[in-house]
Amino acid sequence: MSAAVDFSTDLCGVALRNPILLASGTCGYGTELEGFINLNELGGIVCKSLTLEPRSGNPPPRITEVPAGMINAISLENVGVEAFIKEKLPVLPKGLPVFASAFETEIDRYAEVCARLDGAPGVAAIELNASCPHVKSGGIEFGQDPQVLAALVRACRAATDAKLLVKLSPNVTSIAEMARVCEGEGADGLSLINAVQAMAVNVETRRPALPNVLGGLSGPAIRPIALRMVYQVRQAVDLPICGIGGIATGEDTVAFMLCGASAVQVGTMTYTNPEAGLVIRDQLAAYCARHGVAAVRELIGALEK
Amino acid sequence: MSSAAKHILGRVIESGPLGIRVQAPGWAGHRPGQFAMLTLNPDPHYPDPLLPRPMAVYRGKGEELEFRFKIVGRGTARLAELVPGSSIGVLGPLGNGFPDPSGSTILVGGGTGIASLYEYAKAHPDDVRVILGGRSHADILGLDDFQTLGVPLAIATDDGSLGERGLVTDLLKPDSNDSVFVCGPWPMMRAAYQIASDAGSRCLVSLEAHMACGIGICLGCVVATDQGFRYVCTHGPVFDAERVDWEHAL
Repeated sequence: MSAAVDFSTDLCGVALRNPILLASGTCGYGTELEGFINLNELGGIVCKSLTLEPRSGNPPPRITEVPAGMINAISLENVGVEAFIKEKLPVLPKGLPVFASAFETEIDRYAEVCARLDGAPGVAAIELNASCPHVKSGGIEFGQDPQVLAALVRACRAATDAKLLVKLSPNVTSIAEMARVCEGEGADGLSLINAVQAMAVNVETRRPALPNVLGGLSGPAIRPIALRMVYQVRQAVDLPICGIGGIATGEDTVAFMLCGASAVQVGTMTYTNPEAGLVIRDQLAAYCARHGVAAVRELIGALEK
Repeated sequence: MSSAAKHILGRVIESGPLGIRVQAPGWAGHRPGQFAMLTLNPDPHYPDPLLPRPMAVYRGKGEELEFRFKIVGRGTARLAELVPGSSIGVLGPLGNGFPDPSGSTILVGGGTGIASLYEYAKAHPDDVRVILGGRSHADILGLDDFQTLGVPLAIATDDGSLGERGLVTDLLKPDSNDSVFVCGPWPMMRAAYQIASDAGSRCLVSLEAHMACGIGICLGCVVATDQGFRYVCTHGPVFDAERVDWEHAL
């Protein structure tokens, strides 16, 4: 890695030593990866989404592979917010920016998760996972209805002084409208995109590949959609953006930053190689060296037209 | 947790429709029954097929590892086509593997599940009896290797083309002092567990599941047990059969 390049960046006031974070749901609670990488070499990690109570998730099978991607229906299995604070947070390395992801089925419960995380030692910021089905709205995701999303962000904003990123659902007509809603309700930043609703069928058995029928598509298959949405959101709001969606290489990171992302999250690729985040960081370094980029921040929004 | 596990950029020595041999520099060694995740395209610029494939180590000698499979989909088809010298990602050793024997042990293997058992038989030839099964002669992988070990060996095939005509479980007659270790198709493992349980034998099963990461982060590979969902990758792949919820497990 070239020592000459300044890799530091900032995501809604959280200083990052480099722009590569690991995405929620793809790095566990961090410790699972410690045998493979030094977590402190990453920009940060976004831990698995937390609910008030532990959740055991869907019965198997939960995942299926599709071209350049996978569909999952894990259903947000997690240890619960209290166990996270008591058992998971204290064993993470000091100095690692840890983003806690909050998720629930009701707005007041989301707010309660945020309140519990408020001031928890070691939490750099909260990322709201807005892709949960909202029972009261007939099962659509919180992030799919501007009014529901507004109410969610408002309630969580009131519940915490922590920096609040909202992770947007891509399953919408206008991602820009959703971004504006979050900005209007006081979010500090946006993460995008979450998994794309998808489905696969086993034609031999004539059954859905997953018993849950629908699942979330992730991996390089969604990268061009994610990039388009980051680009559109950059035009719509001033909030800092964390780009997510099939990022597999340093060049992918550059593309998201050029379109306006201040940092990125690596997700599904960590499944293919637990060191993926650091490999991508090194590729980003090589890009910067090749193009005479002195500080990686110069790339943010620097798309030539 | 397998703290010795590493992600290694390996090289294909040879590959074909029945299996693959790879050179994995820095491989830390493994126990019989452990597995690796094989990444077909370690260059992330071309990430398709995307996910690594979990494979039991059939046989290892230092940093040279052999895996046996049958072509069942895109992943195994691509593995079979890899030419010598190709790059391949090797993540491992993963999972718990089988425990050392505590007396007489019967190994029961069906189809590609046989691949999980060979090294155990090799390591403990005086403690094991082996029963292998498949649809026909061609499904009994590693037959020569097992015969070379000189361990007691019984075989059943559906079509009678090798050994007895019938199921491996027809040949399984344990007593309460035997341990029974099983790897194969779900119905076979379930039937073997039933026989072992009726005989008062301890029964361990090595499970297979759709798996994206192999290290406990994707949570894709759960199996239902009396302790709730457990991960085949980090809690297994070897499970005590009496803890598995056979009605709802996979």
